[in-house]
Amino acid sequence: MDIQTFVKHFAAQFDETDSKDITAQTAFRSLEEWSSMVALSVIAFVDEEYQTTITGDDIRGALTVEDIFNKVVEKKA
Amino acid sequence: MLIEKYGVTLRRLEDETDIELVRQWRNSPEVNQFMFFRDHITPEMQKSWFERINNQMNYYFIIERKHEKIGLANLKGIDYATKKAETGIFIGEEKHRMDLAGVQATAALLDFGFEELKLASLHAHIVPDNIAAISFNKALGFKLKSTEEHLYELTKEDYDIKKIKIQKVLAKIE
Repeated sequence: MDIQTFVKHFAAQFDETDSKDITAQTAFRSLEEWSSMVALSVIAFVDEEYQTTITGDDIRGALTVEDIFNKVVEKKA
Repeated sequence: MLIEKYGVTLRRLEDETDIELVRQWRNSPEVNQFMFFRDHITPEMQKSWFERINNQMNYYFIIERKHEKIGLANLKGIDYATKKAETGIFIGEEKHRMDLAGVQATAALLDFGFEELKLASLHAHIVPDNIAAISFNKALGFKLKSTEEHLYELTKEDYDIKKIKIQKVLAKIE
């Protein structure tokens, strides 16, 4: 698992937001397009790509994209 | 009337305390900024509004999550002849605005509209500045019908396609 691939997948969940605006350090809730639907899409791609289930609470507890990545790493360990 | 699905409860708006709570949410800058009608709503205006919408042409639901009241979801202006209605939702409690409550409540509401009321299509007017809501609704299958009216439409067929992924994820995390 590498963070750059994760960030690419994360950015792909947005339709209107330029992927260049999303990095590991992005505070994703500050993105104008962020909504509960994007949160659901993030949960779906983590499930499909990493065979791990993260929850709404996991996302709620995260500030940056990297925080979610770290949660996935922790759950897969 | 109660709908319990996807980890949320939709409770039909009828309690006076809830009507006042909706007024407070609706007047808050965070909610008001994304409404077409932005005037301050007085208790009298709210009472008059509730008297107009408290009928079978309109379903307004308080959204509850873990017994906490967090927002409002609605199907309004229901035309049972053409099987059409307008839909809308807002999360009034800030801490739930960015979590999954919005999609959970919306899925429960749309299932009710399409499966119980047998509606064929729903429409939504979305303020153009509300990028998150536009993106949210497109992900549900809504398509832009009128740029001038900021009008989006969702057919049952389009929702049936999109809801597969939504239900799968919601079932997994419930």
